[in-house]
Amino acid sequence: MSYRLGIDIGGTFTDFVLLSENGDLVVAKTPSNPEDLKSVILAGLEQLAEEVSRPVADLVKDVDIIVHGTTIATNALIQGRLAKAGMICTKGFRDVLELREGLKEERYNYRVDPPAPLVPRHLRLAVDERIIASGAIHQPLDERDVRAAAETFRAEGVEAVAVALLWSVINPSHELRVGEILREELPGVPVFLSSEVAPNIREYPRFSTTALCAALGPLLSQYTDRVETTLREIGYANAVRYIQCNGGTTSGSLLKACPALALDSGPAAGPAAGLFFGKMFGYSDVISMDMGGTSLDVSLVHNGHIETSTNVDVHRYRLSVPKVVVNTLGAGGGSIGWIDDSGMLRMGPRSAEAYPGPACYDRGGELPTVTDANVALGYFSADHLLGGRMAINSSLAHQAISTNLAEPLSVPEIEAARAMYTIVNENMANEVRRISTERGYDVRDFAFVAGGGCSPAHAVSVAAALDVETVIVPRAASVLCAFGAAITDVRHDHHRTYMASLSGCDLSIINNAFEEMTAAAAQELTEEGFPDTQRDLRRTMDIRYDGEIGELTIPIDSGPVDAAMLETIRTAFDQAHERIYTFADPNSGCQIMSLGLAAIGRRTDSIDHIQHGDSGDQSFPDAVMTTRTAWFDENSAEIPVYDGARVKPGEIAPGPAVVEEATTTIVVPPGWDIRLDPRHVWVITRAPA
Amino acid sequence: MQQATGNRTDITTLATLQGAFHSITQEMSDVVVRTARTPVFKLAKDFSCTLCDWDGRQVVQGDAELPVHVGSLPFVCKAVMATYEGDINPGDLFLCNDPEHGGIHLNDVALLRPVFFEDSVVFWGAIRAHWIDIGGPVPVDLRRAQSDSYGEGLRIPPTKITDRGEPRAEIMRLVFGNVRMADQQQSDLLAMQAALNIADKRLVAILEKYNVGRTKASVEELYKMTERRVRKAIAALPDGEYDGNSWLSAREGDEHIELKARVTIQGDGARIELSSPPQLYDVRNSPFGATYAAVGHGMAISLGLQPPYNDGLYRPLDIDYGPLGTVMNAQVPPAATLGCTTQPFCEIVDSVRSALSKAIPDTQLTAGWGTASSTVVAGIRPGTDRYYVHFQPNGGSTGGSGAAHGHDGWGGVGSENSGGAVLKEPIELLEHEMPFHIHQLEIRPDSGGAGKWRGGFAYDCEWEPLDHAQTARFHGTINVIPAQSVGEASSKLLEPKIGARVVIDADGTHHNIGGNSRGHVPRGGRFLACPPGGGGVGNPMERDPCAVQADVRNGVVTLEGASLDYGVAIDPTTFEIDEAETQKLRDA
Repeated sequence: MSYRLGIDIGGTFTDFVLLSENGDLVVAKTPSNPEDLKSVILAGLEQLAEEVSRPVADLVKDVDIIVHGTTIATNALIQGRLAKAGMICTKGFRDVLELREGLKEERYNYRVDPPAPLVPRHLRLAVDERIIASGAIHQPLDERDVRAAAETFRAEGVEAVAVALLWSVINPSHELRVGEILREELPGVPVFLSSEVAPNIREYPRFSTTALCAALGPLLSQYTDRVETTLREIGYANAVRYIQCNGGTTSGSLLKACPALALDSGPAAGPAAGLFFGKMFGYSDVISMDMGGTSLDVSLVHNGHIETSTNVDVHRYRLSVPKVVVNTLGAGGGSIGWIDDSGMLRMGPRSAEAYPGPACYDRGGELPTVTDANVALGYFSADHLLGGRMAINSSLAHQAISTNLAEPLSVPEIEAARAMYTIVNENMANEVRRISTERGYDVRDFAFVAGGGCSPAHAVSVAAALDVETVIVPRAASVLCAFGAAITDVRHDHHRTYMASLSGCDLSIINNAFEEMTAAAAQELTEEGFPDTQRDLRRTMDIRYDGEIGELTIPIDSGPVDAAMLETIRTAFDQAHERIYTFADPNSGCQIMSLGLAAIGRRTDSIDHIQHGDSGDQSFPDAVMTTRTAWFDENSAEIPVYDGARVKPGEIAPGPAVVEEATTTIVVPPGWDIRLDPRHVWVITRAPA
Repeated sequence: MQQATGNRTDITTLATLQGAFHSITQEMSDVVVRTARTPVFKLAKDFSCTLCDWDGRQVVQGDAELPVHVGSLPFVCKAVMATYEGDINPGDLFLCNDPEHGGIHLNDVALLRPVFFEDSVVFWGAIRAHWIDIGGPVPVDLRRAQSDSYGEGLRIPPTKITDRGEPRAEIMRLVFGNVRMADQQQSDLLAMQAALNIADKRLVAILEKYNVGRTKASVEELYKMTERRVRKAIAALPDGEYDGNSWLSAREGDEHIELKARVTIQGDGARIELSSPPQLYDVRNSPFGATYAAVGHGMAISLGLQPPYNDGLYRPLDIDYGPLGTVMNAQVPPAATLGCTTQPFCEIVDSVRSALSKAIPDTQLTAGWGTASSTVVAGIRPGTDRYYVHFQPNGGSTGGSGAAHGHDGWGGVGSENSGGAVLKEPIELLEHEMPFHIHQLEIRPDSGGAGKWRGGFAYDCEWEPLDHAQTARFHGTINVIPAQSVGEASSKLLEPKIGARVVIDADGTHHNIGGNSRGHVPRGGRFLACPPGGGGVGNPMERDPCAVQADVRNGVVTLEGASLDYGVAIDPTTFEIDEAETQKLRDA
């Protein structure tokens, strides 16, 4: 029996998913401890080994691949635990990184500071050189400036260097030479060239990405070494791969070459998991919602493709490499309800976090949270959560809502609780709209996949508000990203900046560029052991109407690009523009901005179902644990509470109802049916009229 | 989908609608950024979106929008309603830039669309955007030569340009026959329409869900909630009369012009009386719409009020603009108002801020921003007969924001009229599209106003027109007075804090062409735009010496600046603080 193992290290918990070649799924969860990676991994493996009744040492020998998602890069960025980085800049432009295109995110908030530059100004050193838009060298590189900068970096103890020169995307020769000199002068210090890590036009996003690489590089490099050493020590000898921000996996060595790719590793695996479960029910359009204690991550898969975008901010720092579109909202089980200075009830983004947590946890938290609202509305049990593993005190939930919200607003407690629940759902629905409707997708075509401990209590109500028909809740919901890691594909992105009018472009340049990228991608996939049959090469062109700022990424077919294909591309661009922006302008000229190639190594061919533990054998009526009074809109009803573990696959029950699982609680409002699919997935659909 | 019934609102509906209005304006803005063609739209985001209600009142002032644009849009909406009473139909579009009807300067053109539900207008979608050209005698839009509104370009009173979905071709021909680069601008109009399409779609969905009665009741309640918040903040201040002022920079040979504001706090209301000299024979006049927006902004910031803003923000404010025909209450025609979105907008905000600084607690103090009007580079593309006009808002490079109590200012975010919304174009995209090079875009040392909390730094920008058969022209106004500092803040090293415009000849000779001026850059020459830095807050002698040390180490404050402005002595080689010398400087 061979396995693949997904490990997702989050801030609070580390999730493990062990998936066999037959689709047998075993999960484990341990508390995270960044100080002691080895014991965390061992603890998880021991849980898994126990489940499959084999010793750890024996089990790891049968694991073919370990895929790892980690918050280490994201956390380092948030907490400012960054390497001392230096930057080489074109003379006259050392402040591009600090200017941030002049953006101040909150116009009217005068009491907020800009993010600290990733490289302080005294370590951003200018060298005399200039390349212009055509790629011509306007001012040759003064190598003395580079050596002088290296001297300063050495004296300052700089740990990594970013090289960020204007127009290096068109002509990288100066950056390459600066890199050579720095490596010669500063042996052992990693050097990142903007033309290599992010070869995209627009200097700020490219320089920022390069600076992120330098600032995160040393930490990430130590980390991947530590992970791989630890796994060797445990006896694991096969491949280790990492989730990148593009949603695919990559090797440690490629990650070291562009450490910025490690940002959002973890959440980036969510859409792959969503697609996997969506496909089970014939959906290739899927929205994944992963709601934990403090936040909600929403991502979208359209037509089986995971949406990525470039030039987005990650915790206020710009990233120009393709990144899975994951919208994060401060809405989780611990999000606090409060009244703003105009008397408006608001939910989040502040959270009671894991500690003290919601008021009902009885750990000293006095503020009303989303979880407290769920308790007050009768969705959650009055005395326990997590299938009985955690005791709670419902009177504290009621009290927190009464004191902090209902009384000041002069409404009954239950109305305040309903408002809390509805407002959180509306916030979630707005976030779903942002990622779907605003990008030109009809959200009604999509299925929701609800992951994380908290989404199943809200997902169906959000679906109802958006006219979505199907909500899928995998039994592995609480470890969705670890599952995504276990099944996701390898992905390497390649880019070439080529700016030309679509009608007057040079086909040989385009075809050469694609050939080069294809050759590079083929080599990478060969090294990773993917046969031709498991390779996907997705070619794209970034196109805009003459003069537009925003380009759209248009997929293009395989084969040589010729005049006929350009026409097809033009039509596809007009259609995409109309879909997303409400209009097309067929009379306008179009401009190509860049060429892209995503090389995908598919791993999931063999698994299309999963077997997750034992199933129950009872009908829904037999699996009733208790009944509760629960509120839906303005009415209360006595509703059944089912023990999910006892339900027999294939059974169906109408809402209103609640299903309690070991790690989550599913709320089924009136007008919806829930059934347990034999593949260990709950499916909630609108009841036939 | 369930439809609500009844006309009553509730806490859930209020929160939901507030969130929805906000996300609609955000979506409107996003679509314009991505689809507009002229750099000023797409790169610099010099446009704003808003929603108005059935009476033309402002439903939401989005927090990504430019205060000067949106604050005055309700006047335009009301003017359209009055002009076309009885003739407003689904699918209509209205254009207006006329300062007499709530317009600000002629280049800022508003487009409005009524949102119909059950046969009546319930909302309006509105967008105001800076058109790169609006006609007039020279192909640039900051033309100091223009002394009255007729010379400024095409004035468009409320005008229906699309009738029930059918564009009125003769009007379009008239408008686009009178502006330069009409093709690009017509494409920009498509982007503006796209934003209004979105507003219509989303608002109709809201009305379907909540019905007209409940939606209207909720909107009224949202106004009241904002109004209560503003009144509460005003009531917290001691009653009294507070006088403030600010200065509009002189043109060469003239005097600086004083703008006065008296804010009378009484209970939970405020009366703001403005007084200014007779309107000027140049472009720096503010029509009432722009002045209204400036006063609202100055009050909100000084009172420390965060968005959401809507009609309720302005209700507790009783504004006296001063006599018609003065700088802050310009009569159009004949007054020219091209400068008004920056100057005197920022100075009006400053005069209100200056008055309120005497009433609010220290912890609420904010300083003025480095104000610079736009720079326009224009010429003929080499080897063609086509004009290019490149408009750079806020001085063509970016000034610093004012400090706030507890926070240094931000560098390079522009003037306060945009509040950091107007972005700097990527140099690589500019050089790709425009026939010029940029030689530097860097922080100017010592440009931040001194204070316990330092003003934001200014970024200098230097251009070179390439191989031009014709020369390029540069226009612009710039504030030659340091940004307003507050709370014992003052700078000794003044010159770097003030803006400048410098023409550099091909032989390297520098000509400082001063503020409010026009330059002529010869072939082979360059142009250097230096906006002012932001003002400081609090006594600079109380600034943490370590913060001064860090600034010196980063090269953004010089040794001289550290010593003169902050009384901190720093060793030029080790960057160590000389404690004894610092003590001496600070005691002096």
